[in-house]
Amino acid sequence: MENSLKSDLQKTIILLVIIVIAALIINSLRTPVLFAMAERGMISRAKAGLLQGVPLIYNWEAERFPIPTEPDGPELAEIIQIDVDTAKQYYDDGGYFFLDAREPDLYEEGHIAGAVNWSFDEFDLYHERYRDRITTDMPVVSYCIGETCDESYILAQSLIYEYYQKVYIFSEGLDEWEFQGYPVSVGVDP
Amino acid sequence: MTPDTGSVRDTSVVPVPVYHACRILLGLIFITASIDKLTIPWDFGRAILVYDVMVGPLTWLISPMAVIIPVLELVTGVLLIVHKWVRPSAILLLALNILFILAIGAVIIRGMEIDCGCGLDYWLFELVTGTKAAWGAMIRDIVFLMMNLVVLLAPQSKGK
Repeated sequence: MENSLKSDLQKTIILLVIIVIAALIINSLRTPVLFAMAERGMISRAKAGLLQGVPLIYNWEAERFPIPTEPDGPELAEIIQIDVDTAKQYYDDGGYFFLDAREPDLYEEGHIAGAVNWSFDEFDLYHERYRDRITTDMPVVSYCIGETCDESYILAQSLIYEYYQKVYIFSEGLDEWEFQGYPVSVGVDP
Repeated sequence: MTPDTGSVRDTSVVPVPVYHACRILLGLIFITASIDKLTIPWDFGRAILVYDVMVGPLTWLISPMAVIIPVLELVTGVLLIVHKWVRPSAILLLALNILFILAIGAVIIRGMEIDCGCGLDYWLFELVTGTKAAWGAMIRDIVFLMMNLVVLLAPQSKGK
């Protein structure tokens, strides 16, 4: 009985060591492999950015939605967070594209008037659709429902990887926009 | 030659079909659970952060957890299904299960809202069942823990 337990524990430790080594190898290889695939046009750069590995030493408390450095890649722009007052100022300015990062059915239920729907989980599809209309030098404001949602951050990160230069996140989102009584529309993408 | 599990007589506490059902089901559950985490490790890291258990210096453990846990779930899940290294796999999954239960316990104590991973958003789960979604996650993980103990303690897994 004791021998069997000892053998089980020994095997457990061996298995754990194998798993840890395999996990570290996979994590260290995935980022260069994914960006090499993007370089060859097999996947988009946004997809490579989304699926890449995580740095082993990383302060998650400080940065929930980081733009990790791409290996041997170009300098990427930074995402800038804005509050509702700045968002309204940019909205009134008229030169900013507001992007609703949520899924189409939620967008249709209500969105910032004039915003286009760029659903975060179908990034490549929307990128294809808007590539000519919203070029990388145009300022874009990504938003979702409010502080608790992730979609606007994931969309912003994908945009950065596709070389968009001026990417803003309106993290207070549609909830705060509506609360302030600012213009909202319903229905499909214009 | 080691006798096959099928030849184990029913003198054991755990009936042979129950043992195999728990083993295969657990394997499938953990393989399925690993796929999303393996695909987008950043999402899994953020999911760990949302539980608000890994705070202060523990924040530095989020990255290693986001890297290792999905591979652990996948490898142990496959080993359970192919019936190799069953006890070592069950021991590792037991440790993982206890970790999950402690994390959800902390969520319940603080009254936080989380998705239970039951296929419904937390608010929909609460509407349908009248129970906090975190309790759904707790009950699910306790069931997994029981299944894990069945596999681990069954004489059929001895030497496997």
